[in-house]
Amino acid sequence: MNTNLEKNRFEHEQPGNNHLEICNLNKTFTVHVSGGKQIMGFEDVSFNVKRGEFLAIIGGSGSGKSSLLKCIYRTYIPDSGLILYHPGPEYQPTDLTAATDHMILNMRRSEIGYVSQLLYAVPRVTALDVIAEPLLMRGMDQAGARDIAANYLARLCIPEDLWDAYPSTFSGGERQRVNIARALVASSNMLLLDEPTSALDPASTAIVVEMLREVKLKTTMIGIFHDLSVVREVADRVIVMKNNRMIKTGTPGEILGSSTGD
Amino acid sequence: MNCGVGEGEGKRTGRKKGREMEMKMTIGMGEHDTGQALKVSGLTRIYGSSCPDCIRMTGPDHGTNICRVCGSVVACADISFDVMPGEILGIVGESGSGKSTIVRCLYFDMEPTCGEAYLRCYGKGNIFQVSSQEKQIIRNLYTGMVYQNPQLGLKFDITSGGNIAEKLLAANWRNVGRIRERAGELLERTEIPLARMDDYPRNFSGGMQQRVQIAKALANDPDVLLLDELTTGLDVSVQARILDLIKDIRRNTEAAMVLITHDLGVIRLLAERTIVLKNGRIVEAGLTDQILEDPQHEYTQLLVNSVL
Ligand SMILES: Nc1ncnc2c1ncn2[C@@H]1O[C@H](COP(=O)(O)OP(=O)(O)OP(=O)(O)O)[C@@H](O)[C@H]1O
Ligand SMILES: Nc1ncnc2c1ncn2[C@@H]1O[C@H](COP(=O)(O)OP(=O)(O)O)[C@@H](O)[C@H]1O
Ligand SMILES: [Mg+2]
Ligand SMILES: [Mg+2]
Ligand SMILES: [Zn+2]
Repeated sequence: MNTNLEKNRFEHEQPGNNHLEICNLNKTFTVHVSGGKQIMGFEDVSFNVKRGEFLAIIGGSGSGKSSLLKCIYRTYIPDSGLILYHPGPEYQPTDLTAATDHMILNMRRSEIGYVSQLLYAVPRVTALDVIAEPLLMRGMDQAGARDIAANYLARLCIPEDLWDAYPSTFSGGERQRVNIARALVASSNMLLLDEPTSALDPASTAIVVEMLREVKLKTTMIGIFHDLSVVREVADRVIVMKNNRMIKTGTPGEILGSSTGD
Repeated sequence: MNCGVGEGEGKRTGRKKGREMEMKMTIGMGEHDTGQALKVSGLTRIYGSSCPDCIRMTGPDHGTNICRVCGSVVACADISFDVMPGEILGIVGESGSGKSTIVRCLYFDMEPTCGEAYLRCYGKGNIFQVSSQEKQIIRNLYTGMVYQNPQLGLKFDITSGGNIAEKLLAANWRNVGRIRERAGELLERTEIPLARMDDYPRNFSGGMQQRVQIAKALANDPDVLLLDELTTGLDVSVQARILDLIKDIRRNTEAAMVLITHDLGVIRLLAERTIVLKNGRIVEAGLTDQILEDPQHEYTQLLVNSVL
């Protein structure tokens, strides 16, 4: 894996080019309540993500994809390794594995967004307000924020009579679209997406894919997908996880073959 | 006084590497780089005569907060944390783990055995060391408290408006008309019908009593709000409205909040960061999602796994 990293370093020579560098990252879970049992999350993962790149992670159930994403967002604490986040050419990189909780919270406000695989809904907040909130936090006025939120909901084909309802009562697919819209309006510099299209029908998937392609121009994205046709459409590069290791990386063409062979 | 407690990092089991980077923080600080609203370090409170072995003989490793040698209760020891303006810090832990003791020390209801605490808005050093007059000032101007037991936070034989007026008078409000106006505003904000302003808290439901406590705690526009189990024992719909009120306070003020609860759902909903207490010690501190999803300490794992 080390040699792989060196190679990547060599490939993107400009120092400002990498947005994220992951080096020899490991994660195991120690379950004290089951007598200290060790559960493997993933081991020895290294890769770089360039600014503006869309990296897709694919692999079987339990292979460590979500754990990897959660380590980047710091919902999980990795055992060892580095996660270097490069805010921009004029800044020093931050090692997210060593950053304080306050630093991580600040990063989450402006730099890194995350859409969970679980279709979580904050209770008693309407769909409109869920999406408007990141805008309000950035100082936008109520009317403007709700306007933009309404646009997103309309575009994602959420029926208008649901806009003022609580997503905790929504279907899985509706909830997922609200969560994606919230992450998109926040316009973070990096977005982590855990199976963002898993609960969606083909029509909504197509809309979400189109939206992801739009924000791709200004946002670096790392996304976990099971739907390989989506990977072909959005990803610049693919990482394959198997048995809790990263076994392959390449372009969608290299990894998935030609689109007819699905 | 030397409590025999180690200095420095405390019990932050969650962190594997040093925190030198704190100072180098370069991005995303925005309005939050002005420093902690509240910083507590090494707070210890021992009930009883105490002996040199109290600290060593208690804590999660011993499964007790009672010193075997002298019988004193080490309610909390070596408690260190900070809270940013506008941030909510959760404190969870089983009954008797020392949660209330911490906030009651910070509100000067009791004296800590040792430790330090600093408020950003009060630049005169460790607030445990200042004169009782200064403590009054800190309490009246900068902090607010909602007690686990409303009988401690409210005078039941004074009207709800009167309870709030007391806090305002303490904070140097003098104009009776404006005091009444402000009390009305606060009650309205906490959804107490204005008609109940001249009624007594003893005639209120538990949820209303908590809301009057919140109104009173907000009266001086505090920099630090201490909230002790404010939804315990209330029915769920009443709980929901109180939690929404706290969110509203977070949106509209810069108050740093310390929120004690044993309800992990409340923590998930409100707190950005959480500390976990057992037998008077912090066994784990971290981002709330990390505490809930990747708990490191055995006790935290037990706690998270006990949720029905
Ligand atoms: N919080 C956790 N505590 C203990 N084990 C965990 C935890 N999270 C993940 N694991 C374990 O780590 C391994 C990797 O899980 P992960 O959720 O990353 O898989 P995944 O690739 O996302 O799978 P899926 O596609 O089913 O979501 C699994 O064996 C899982 O059971
Ligand atoms: N006034 C007191 N005198 C003696 N022991 C006390 C007193 N107040 C609290 N304690 C003890 O200190 C410990 C911590 O109490 P407390 O902070 O109230 O716990 P919590 O709020 O977590 O339930 C308990 O063992 C309790 O019995
Ligand atoms: Mg997963
Ligand atoms: Mg208590
Ligand atoms: Zn003792």
